[in-house]
Formats: sequence, C-alpha cells, structure tokens
Amino acid sequence: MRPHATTSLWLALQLLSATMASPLAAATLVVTTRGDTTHATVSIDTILFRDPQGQFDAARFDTLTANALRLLFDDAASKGLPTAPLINRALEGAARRVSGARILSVVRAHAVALAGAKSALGDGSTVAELDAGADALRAGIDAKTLFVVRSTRPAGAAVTALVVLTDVVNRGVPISTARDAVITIARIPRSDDALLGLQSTVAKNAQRGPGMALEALNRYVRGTVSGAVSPSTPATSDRKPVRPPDS
Amino acid sequence: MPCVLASLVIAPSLSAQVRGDAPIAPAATIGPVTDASTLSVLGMAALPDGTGNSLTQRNDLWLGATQPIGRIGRVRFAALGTGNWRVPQGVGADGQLEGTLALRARARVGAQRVWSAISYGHASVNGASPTANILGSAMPPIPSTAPGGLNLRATDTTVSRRVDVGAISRAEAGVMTHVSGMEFSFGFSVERATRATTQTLTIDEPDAIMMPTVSGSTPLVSNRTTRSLQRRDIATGIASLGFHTGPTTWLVSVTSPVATWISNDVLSPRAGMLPTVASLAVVQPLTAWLSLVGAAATNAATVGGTALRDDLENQRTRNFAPVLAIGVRIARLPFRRTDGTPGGILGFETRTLGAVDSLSVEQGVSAPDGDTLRVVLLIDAPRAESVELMGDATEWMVTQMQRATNGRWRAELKLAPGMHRISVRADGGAWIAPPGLPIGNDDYGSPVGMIVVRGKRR
Repeated sequence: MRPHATTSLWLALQLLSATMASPLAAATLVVTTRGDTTHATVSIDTILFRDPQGQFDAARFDTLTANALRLLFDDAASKGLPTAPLINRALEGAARRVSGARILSVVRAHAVALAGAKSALGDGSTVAELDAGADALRAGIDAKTLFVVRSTRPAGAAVTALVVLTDVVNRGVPISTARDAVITIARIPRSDDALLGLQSTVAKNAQRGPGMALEALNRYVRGTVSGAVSPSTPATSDRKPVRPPDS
Repeated sequence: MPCVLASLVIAPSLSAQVRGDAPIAPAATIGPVTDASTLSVLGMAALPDGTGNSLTQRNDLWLGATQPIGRIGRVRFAALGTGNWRVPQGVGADGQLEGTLALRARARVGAQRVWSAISYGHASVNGASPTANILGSAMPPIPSTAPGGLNLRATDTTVSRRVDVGAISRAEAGVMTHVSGMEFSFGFSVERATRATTQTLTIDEPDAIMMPTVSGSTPLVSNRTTRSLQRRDIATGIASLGFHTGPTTWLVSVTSPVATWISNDVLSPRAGMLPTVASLAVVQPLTAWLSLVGAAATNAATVGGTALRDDLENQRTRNFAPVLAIGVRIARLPFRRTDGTPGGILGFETRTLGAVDSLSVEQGVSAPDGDTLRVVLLIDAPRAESVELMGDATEWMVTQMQRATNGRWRAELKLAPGMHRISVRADGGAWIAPPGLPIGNDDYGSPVGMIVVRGKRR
C-alpha cells in the first residue's frame, strides 16, 4: 500500500473512532475539516458522506461492531450499492439482540447479495428492487431468474414480483415452479395485486402441506391466465373480509 | 404490561402469582402480562440488614409456570403454579417446600382491564428446632461443674423435632389502566392461612434425678409431643406501576396489609403483622424467548407461604430486611415454522399470541414532499391485551399499537415507496411476521413480514 493511502486510511480509522465515541465530535470534525484542504479532508468527507449518520444509530452497537459496520457500509457505497438496506439489517439485528458477529455476518451476506442483485437487475434498478433481489438470491433463487423477472416488469416495478417469488419459495414451493408462476403472472400488465393474491393463496394452503400449496399455486396461475381471476383482483380477496373503518 | 406487587415478584407467594394482569410477581409471569406458556426459575437471597442476625438470612430456589386454559366469552382464564424450596442452612429447618396453584381470570371492561384470582397453597416444614440451634450457637459452653462442686446442669428443654403444615386460600381482584404509556394497577386481596405445628420436646431432667439401671443409674430424659393450631386472615392492598424503557420492562409495586385477624391457641407462637413491602423488578429480554429477571424488595415477608412461619422469621417483624432475586424466564421454545408461527409442542401458542390474523394497508399521500405515504396497519388481535410492532419504519424501535374497535389494533406509519420489513407481537410474546403478509428472509431467527408500498407512478 502506498504511504499516502496508508496515511489516509489511518486517519480515517482514527476519525471513525472519534465519531463512534462522540457524535458531537464527529459533527465538529465535519465542520472544521470541510473548510480545510488537507489530504485527510477527502477521506473524512467521503466516509461521512457515505455513512448516512441519520440512519445509522451507532449507539445501538458495541464499538467494535459499529466500526466494522461503518467500514462495511463505506465499502458497499464505494461499489455503488445502497447502504439503507444494510443499515436496516444491522438495526434489526440490534433490535433482536443478537451478537455483533451475527449482525456483521448478516450484513456482509446481504451486501454480497445486493451486489449480485445489482448485476442481475441492472444499474437502473431502484433500491427496493435491489433489496428484494438480494432477498431472493439469499433464498436460493438464481440470478438468471432475477433477470427474467426484471425483463417482465417496467422500471422500478419489479419489487412485488420479487417479494412474492421469495415468499413462495420460502414456503416450500420448488424454485422452478415458483419462478414460472411468478413470471407468468408478472408478464400481465398491472398484475401486482394478482401476484399478492398468488402469495396469499400459497400461504394459506402451505399450512395444509406442500402438495396443497403447489396445487393451489397451479390452480391460481391457470385461473389468472385464463381470466377467471382478474389481474387487478385485490390481494385481500383471499383474506378475511375488511371491516368498516374505525369511527 | 401489567404489574403486580413487587413483593410478589420476589416472593413467589400465591399473591404474587395471581396479582393482576401483570403477574409481576411470580417468576412465571414476571414482566409484561401474557397468557402465553412460561417457565421461570429464580434464585433468591436475603441481604444483611445490619443487625448481624443470621436468622434473617435465607436462600430460596423458586420455580413458576403459567398456562392458558381457555376463555368463556370475554373472560380469559389461565392457570399458574409455583414451587418454592428453601435451601437448608441450619437455622430453623432442614428445608421447606411450598406449592401453590391459582386460577386467574382477566377481562376488559371498556378501556380498563380487571382481573380476579383464587389460589390455594400448601406448605410443609420439617426440621429441627430453631431454638436449639440458636442456643447452641449463641450461648457459651456451660461447664459441667462450677467451683465448689455445684452442678450447674439444670433442666434443659429443647424442641428436638418440629413439623409445620400450612395451607393458604386467597381471593383477589383489581383493576388496571394506562396513563401516559404507563400501566397502573390497584387491587385488594383477602387471604386465610392456617397452620398446624407439631413439636417434639426433649427434656433433660436435672442431674440430681437419675434413673436407676442394672449397671447403676442414668440421667432421666423425657420426650413430649405438642400440637398447636393457628389461623390468620389478612386483607392486603396492592398498587403497582409498570413501564418500558426500550425492550426493558420495569415494575414497581407496593403491598401493604390493611387488617389482620389472628386466632391461635396458647401453645402457638403469636404471629406479627406483616410489614409494608416495596419492590422493584426488571425484565430484560436476551433473546426472543429468554429473558433475564432481576428483582429487589425491602422485605422478605411475602417470600414463601405468608403467615406460615411467622415465629421462625425474624425479618417479618422488621420493616427493612432486603431480598435480592435473579433468574430467567423462558417464554417459549425456539421452534417455529417458516411462516413464523410457533411449531412443535408449543403450537397452541398461536392462540395466546393474540391471533394476529389479518392486516390491511390504507394508502394515501399525506406528506408534504409527496414521496412519503401514510400507511395504516390494522391487525386483528381481539384476544390480545397489547400489540407492538417494530420494523424499518420505526428504525427497529418497539412501538405500541393503539387499540381500535372490533378487536383491532392500529398503527400509522409514514413509509416511502419501496419494500419495508415489519414484525409484530402480542402480549409481550414472540415476534412474528404479521400473518397475511409475504415473509422475508429470516436473518435473525424471527420472521418478518414484507410491506410493499407502491409509489404514485404505479
């Protein structure tokens, strides 16, 4: 590593430690260093810019975990990946009171999946699509399937399809069957509600056994394609009746 | 999140168990009110009270369990059981066993909650006389003969064996209400305790009285058995306060005797009035199913069967005889199905979790920037006493949902278009994915539901 780069990294780590120890100190650092032109300014601003302080509450983690998470977020940002889903996973882990090592493992795995989802879904995908795609990859769905789902939906509109695909797979439906069903319905315009209806149908029948879920899925897809089930059917149609609004 | 008496917390007495919704006391139900199956284990130890009296020292192991047993109309019933074992310590007894069973009923009346409970407990004490031990350790050795040849060994009477058998019957009722996020509980209980004490007295006659034998003579020793009965009725007032700081539950309570009526025969030691007891309990969740429980009380008066051992418990007559307790509470076993509902032998827990069985999302643009949508979550949980949620919309902070009509619970969130993760729980139970929503990856052992908010472009 070059001496300049080494110095920048060292300074960055020191400033990270200061940031962790005192949010006030971190804010002060931003103010003072932005007006300077020292070589460290770039590193500081880069780190603080890439690390959305407003979302990442470092106080919920121990110092080691928080520092490691910051480095992970910075690394993800440098690769053009969204950090919000990663921060979300980290905060969830803190809320569930799991160990710092477990949190780091989950965040790291999700970052890798986000990179895979970005590659499969394309650079123009929204953060929600990348997040949903990463979930799908981690559920065992391959990148090629993500690409096909992406191609069936307009830009920014693949989230529901990806979420439903992941849910159906998580409920025990074979990946190939789930993929075919979701893609078939996703090709129909404005079919988000129909996709949610598919998810609801599978969820209800999965409680009766994997075979029932599979049969219900196939029946639902046939009905949707043949027009027996409207693509715009509200997802709640398969649920309990909606009660009147609260007074 | 009900609270009960702190004394109850520490003292797994009957009252603790059934005190209100928020069975604060019994380890089995320490913490937020829940009808879910729980098992708790607490270790309790008395602290030095500054008097140097070792009689106030005691150590107990306490077990408690709660099991929902169903409902009739709007009234829910639960069974509570506790067992208490006092560690033998050479003072008073070789050990003590106690057990209580309680049937608790809870219901909601308007915005308030009411509870009532009946309990029965049984206690048994078998051991040597505390008096003998006290004298043996506190008095200096007595020389067999004094100067001048005078024999100082006088008549010595000790209680060589003692058996206490007691029973408690209790009825209580109270009301709970929420004010500014805190839960206040007020109640009243009436208890009748009876005790039968059988003592074997060993009497050493003065050395001057000798029993002639074939080989000469031997000192005369006689044994006598006495039996005494005691009954006490006591009325107690209860007030408690419970609140949350993040996931931590705090319970503060005060229990004070209002009146006591005692009847006993001449041989029975006269029981004293129980002191007012203040206590504090803290429940810190460690995982989704395991919580650490810590508690402290100003007096151990309610530990064990109340009124059953008054003569043996010096601390009962003291206002300050602190007790500490620490232990764990197991809310369930970590077995779950992929949809987040408990599986295996604890499958019945799905009912006690509040039957969260539907959720609806109402969308409408409300934020000035137009990018944030108002999302109203409505969850059906008519059997739940409280419902909480957390997710990225709350930055994964636990948020209380508000009770709506028809058994529904409502929360309003401002969500940007996209995908959001959310978990809910009822009555302080396990976090689950709201049934009806797509489930996301289970990264941390607790499933989450996915809410997809579509933007105006769609």
